[in-house]
Amino acid sequence: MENRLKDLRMQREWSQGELARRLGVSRQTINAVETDKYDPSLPLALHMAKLFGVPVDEIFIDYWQPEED
Amino acid sequence: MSTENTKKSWLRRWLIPMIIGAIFGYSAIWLLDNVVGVDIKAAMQGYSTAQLLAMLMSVLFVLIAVILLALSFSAKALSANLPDGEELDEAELKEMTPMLRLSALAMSAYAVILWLLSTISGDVNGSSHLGHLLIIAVMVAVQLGVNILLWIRHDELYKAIMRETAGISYILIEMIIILWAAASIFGFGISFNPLDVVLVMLSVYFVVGTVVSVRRGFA
Repeated sequence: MENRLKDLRMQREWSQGELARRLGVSRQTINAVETDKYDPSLPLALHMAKLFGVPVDEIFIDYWQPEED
Repeated sequence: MSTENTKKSWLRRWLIPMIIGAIFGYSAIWLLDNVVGVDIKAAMQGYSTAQLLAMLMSVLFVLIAVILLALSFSAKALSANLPDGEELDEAELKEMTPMLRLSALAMSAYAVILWLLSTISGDVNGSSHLGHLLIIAVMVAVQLGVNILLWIRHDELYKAIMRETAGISYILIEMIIILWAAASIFGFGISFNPLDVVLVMLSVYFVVGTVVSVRRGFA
């Protein structure tokens, strides 16, 4: 799953450490999410969305579409 | 990250240390054999393959523990792989260093367990090894306590890695142990002793844990 976490972080000129501190997670977690190695839990994704003031699907981009009946 | 950067990173993080390690290991063996005069072949005789592998793994765990401990004292080394010249701040260092030291302690406990199990075997009288049994029991308690502490202190990435490692390891260990036991029980001349089981469990868990950690960007 693609994500725009790094773009959003850079827009605010935050380091990974700064974002990690604001979200209460480790820098390794932020780095792993930004490099698409780890998909965060739903609570963490919601916290990210709240922090950046955008909907979750603006941070995490999923190209899946349901099949039409 | 570009393909070229990925290749450079892979080279720097894995291939170069592996080559250095191989050269260092070969040199150390050569020095012991030719300069110090230790007859390595003779020293290895009398030990089974499982015992030798367990000793090797024990040494590997000690080396990892030393590296983790050394890292915990070096902010520069810990900041080496951070992007865009970022550095760990005081709070992060304060959070990371106990984790690294705890991990080093857990690795040391595993090393002691493997060393004792591999070097003491054969015709032994149970009562004469009560002390060794107690040491192993303490080490098992230490690694259990440390792993619980690490689980509590780490965030969701570590927990996800642990869950993934445990799941994959379980399937692999189950397959190996069942097939090994079957071959032994059905008389295929394959031995099956407790040290083999310990060795399979720890080596599978260690390899799977390393692969998952790297894949998830933790290591």
